[in-house]
Amino acid sequence: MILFSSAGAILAAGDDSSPSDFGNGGAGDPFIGVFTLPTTDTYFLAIGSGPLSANISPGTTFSPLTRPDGVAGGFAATGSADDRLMGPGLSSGGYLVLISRSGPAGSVPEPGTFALLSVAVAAWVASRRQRTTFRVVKGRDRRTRMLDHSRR
Amino acid sequence: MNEMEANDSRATATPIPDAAFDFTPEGGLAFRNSTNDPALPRFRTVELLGRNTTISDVDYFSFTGSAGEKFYFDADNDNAILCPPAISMGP
Repeated sequence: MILFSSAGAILAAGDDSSPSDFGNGGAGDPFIGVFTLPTTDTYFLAIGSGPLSANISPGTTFSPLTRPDGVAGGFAATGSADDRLMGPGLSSGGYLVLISRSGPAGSVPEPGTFALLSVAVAAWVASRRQRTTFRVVKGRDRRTRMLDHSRR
Repeated sequence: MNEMEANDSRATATPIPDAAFDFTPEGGLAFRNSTNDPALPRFRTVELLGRNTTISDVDYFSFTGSAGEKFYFDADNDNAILCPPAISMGP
């Protein structure tokens, strides 16, 4: 498993997790975490079979991650600008992956909510502009009428 | 939740809505929280089910998260198809 940012940077990867946690079927399965998200963003998780690997650009730094039960849980990568995966793997088949997160429900706006919010803000700004223009026009009318009145 | 083919790239990733994360213990497979401490609140978890149909198949899932939010990703399967990935240093 490999975690990417929305820009395609490899942020973390998980190899065989050892010793197996209570969900594994015997052989070690990948585990990533505990990983702290660096920014509010859309993230991508890639799932494939070994020896699928992430191509890391030179200069990338790594830091080990710790599983909730205290053993190694893959690593985090910082500074990689490469989003290529090297493969293929050796096997195919079904998988089950659990993703757990600390944030409460509704703490992150969905992409659809972002879009709705943008439309609402744009509509509000447009209506404000229209109202301002109307006031200016009305004010000009009044000034014009006053001028006309004084000319008389 | 199940993967939605074709999800073989970031552009076609299967989106995971925030509402899919819940407090169901997922059959006891998920750690309780970042330190597995029973005294602390449980993390919300989603279960992904999918299939790497060929040895070259890579499945992508997407989700939104907040800065500072803690995550862990736990593969649990019986046939151990998800062995590495390893890391290659390259140009």
